[in-house]
Amino acid sequence: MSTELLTGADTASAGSPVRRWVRRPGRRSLSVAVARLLTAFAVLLIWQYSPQGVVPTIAVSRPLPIIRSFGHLVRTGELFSGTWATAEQVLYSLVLGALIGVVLAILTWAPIGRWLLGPLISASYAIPKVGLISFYILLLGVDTKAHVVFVTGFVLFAYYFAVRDAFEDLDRDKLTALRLMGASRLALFRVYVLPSAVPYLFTATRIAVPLAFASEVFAELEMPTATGLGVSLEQATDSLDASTSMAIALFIVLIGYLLDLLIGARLRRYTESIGTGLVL
Amino acid sequence: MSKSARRVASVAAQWIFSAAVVYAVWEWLLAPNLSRVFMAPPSAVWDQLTSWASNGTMFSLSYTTFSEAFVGFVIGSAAGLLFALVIGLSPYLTSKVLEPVVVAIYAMPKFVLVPILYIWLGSDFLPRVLLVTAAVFPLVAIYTLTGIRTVDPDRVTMMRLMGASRAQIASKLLIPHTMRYVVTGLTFSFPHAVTMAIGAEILFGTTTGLGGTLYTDAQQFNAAAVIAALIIATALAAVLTGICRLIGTLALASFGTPASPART
Repeated sequence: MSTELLTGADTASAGSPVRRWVRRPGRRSLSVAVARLLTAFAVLLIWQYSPQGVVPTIAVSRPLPIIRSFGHLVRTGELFSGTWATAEQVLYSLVLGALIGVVLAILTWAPIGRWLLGPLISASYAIPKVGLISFYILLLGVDTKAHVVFVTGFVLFAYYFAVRDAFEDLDRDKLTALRLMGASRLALFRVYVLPSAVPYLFTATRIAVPLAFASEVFAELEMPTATGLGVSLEQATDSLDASTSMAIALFIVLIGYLLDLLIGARLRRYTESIGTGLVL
Repeated sequence: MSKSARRVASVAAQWIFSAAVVYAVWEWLLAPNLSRVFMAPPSAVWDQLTSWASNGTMFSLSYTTFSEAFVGFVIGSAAGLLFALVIGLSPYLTSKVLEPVVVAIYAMPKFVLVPILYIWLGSDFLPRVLLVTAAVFPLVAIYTLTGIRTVDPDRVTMMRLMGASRAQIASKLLIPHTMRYVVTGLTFSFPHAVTMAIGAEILFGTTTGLGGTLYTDAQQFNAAAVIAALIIATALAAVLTGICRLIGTLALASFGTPASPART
């Protein structure tokens, strides 16, 4: 066990070779990027040229056919129409989920609302939501409406819990002071409560977007409608087209990875810029 | 009546009131106005539940889902721990090259693996377990890695100055510190494993387990069975989550509470 591995970057200043790297962060990150690229390239080479039987090509194909399938999906526009259809459902669900989540949080802010709705919300949260898909198929049929309702079921809790946390973290003294200064309930909400909840809403969005995307893909695989990334993946699998399956699957993984990267970084910058104590 | 007794009575009244409202809406508003194909009344769901309880179906359904979740959880946890140790204890460059693997698996929608696993391994026990493994692995790896990386470097230096060997640093500092994170990761990921097992059973279109029942009974428009299976799935998830939290709390009591990985 080396010292560096125990202490990570904190021991960077301990040894002279490490210190040299610290002085030139650009060189260090460049070497990481090069090492990552070389590793990825090596994996691709092994995947492409390994003998039959080593890699289950019937399921995962090989890189070159996958690239060709990806090119075909781009040229025919199937990838863009699928991405757009999936994004559309995700967007509707996010808007609906945010709206329901925020309204529920506002309703349960008052003690009577909490008394009436608390157990229902706790019980609904405990349901394994993937299981609800069968129930929605029965109620709404194989339809995009069922997708939106299914995904909303995941998303609304992210917003509900975030806004509820925001309300719990409000400064009681500030609220009392504003009330004493004659602020109405609406003014109080507009001037103090809502701005305080904004960073929490951003955090909820960070959780909700990848969650909505993943649950929409699940819904599309289980309830294939006209278009969507999950629908295309299901169709390619049904026709045993492993290279197209892998091309779509890898594209979905890439979107998931980028969402995690982009939303996380943007939110971090935002919370830093407004100086909140939110850690993402 | 003491204050705590009043509080218990208030919570009980709150839950009884909510249950009564749900029952009333379901029995007198939804069930009569919707076809039996889409919505079964509470009495039909109750009959289904008692029938499953008496003939052992309830146990066998729960056991199948639980066994998939448990085996996937054990494999995913072991793999996550091992991978985190490799990343955490490797030199800088190796750890930086391996890190994106965990992040990519964490960020990917796991159900995207279903079609690939289906073509490769069919729809039996193994592919469903592998899907659960894919969900548990990154969670345990991230928590463990956070534990390894948050070891206080000053303490390491101090122990080294006092002549501690590597094994001693590992046993006296690294492992106790990291264990808190590992326990949190394991406690957090088991309920996920149960949900993934149900999702896997639905997507693989199996006839076994709670997800399999949800899938097949929805195909046959048996609303009573779908709702009954949902109730059992919720109860199973709630009980297992409760047990996990209890074990986690007891285990953490001896290690102390770790900071959230998101905060480090």
